[in-house]
Amino acid sequence: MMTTTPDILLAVALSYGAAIAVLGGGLLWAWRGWRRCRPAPVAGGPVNKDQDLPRHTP
Amino acid sequence: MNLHAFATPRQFLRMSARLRPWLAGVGCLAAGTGLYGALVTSPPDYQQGETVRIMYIHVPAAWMAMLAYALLALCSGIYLVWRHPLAGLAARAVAPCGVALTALCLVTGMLWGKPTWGAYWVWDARLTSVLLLLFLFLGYSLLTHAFEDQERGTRAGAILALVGLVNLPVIKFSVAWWNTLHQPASVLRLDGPAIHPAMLWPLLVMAVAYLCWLGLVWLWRIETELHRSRELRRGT
Repeated sequence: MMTTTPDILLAVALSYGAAIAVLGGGLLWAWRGWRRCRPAPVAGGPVNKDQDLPRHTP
Repeated sequence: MNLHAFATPRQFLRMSARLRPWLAGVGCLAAGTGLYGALVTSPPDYQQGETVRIMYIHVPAAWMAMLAYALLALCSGIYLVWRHPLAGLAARAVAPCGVALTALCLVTGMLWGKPTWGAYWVWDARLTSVLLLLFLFLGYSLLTHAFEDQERGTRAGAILALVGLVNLPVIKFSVAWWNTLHQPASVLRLDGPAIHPAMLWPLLVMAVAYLCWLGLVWLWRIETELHRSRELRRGT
């Protein structure tokens, strides 16, 4: 079996660090984009008014 | 069943809102359990020692990158045949997920390759075909954004995505067709997994966590693209 050297521990740590950075960063980027673009809730009215309710005005 | 009626933006937004909390919950649970299994309970490999722990983040990244490409090609095919706008948005939305997963697969593979093979990179069939997958995702993203008319861009990207589909079996079978430094398949084999159960379960649980990540990011991106295209239409 390959003996555990500092190089190996560094490679494992860097791999997990890269995974956290890429997956965490991707999650944050997608969430922030979604938050910025979603329609703002109407005060006192239903959320996504124009999408979920039939329109009564032309 | 009329699939077009089912795949309206309104239906999609409703389904997405229901699905997202589940993906987040199951994903967090799977990531926690999988990391515990990968770093604490699973034993070191009889040959590779502790470096085998890279497998738990490298292999699911490779699987999900291939799944992301299959989804990209499927949505592109639907877009080209039925001209369904939601399919075009879904295709555009999955490409960045594919870039992230393929890049992660390559980086972790390189970090695993150095102590195992003595080199970060070799022009091995498996490594080269996965690098080509990254270029296909990047090419798709660049092509779809190269046109002023979004529809033309999505159509051009869809053709590229379908042509690039041929790379998926090449990635999967590259280790069987050519002599490669990369090890052959040890999980998805006709005669069953050749990996110890103590290593297999954390790997599969981590794959579930990655799947939830892909699902969640994809849904957020589709919704973002959907709202953006609506704003564009209102603006013109």
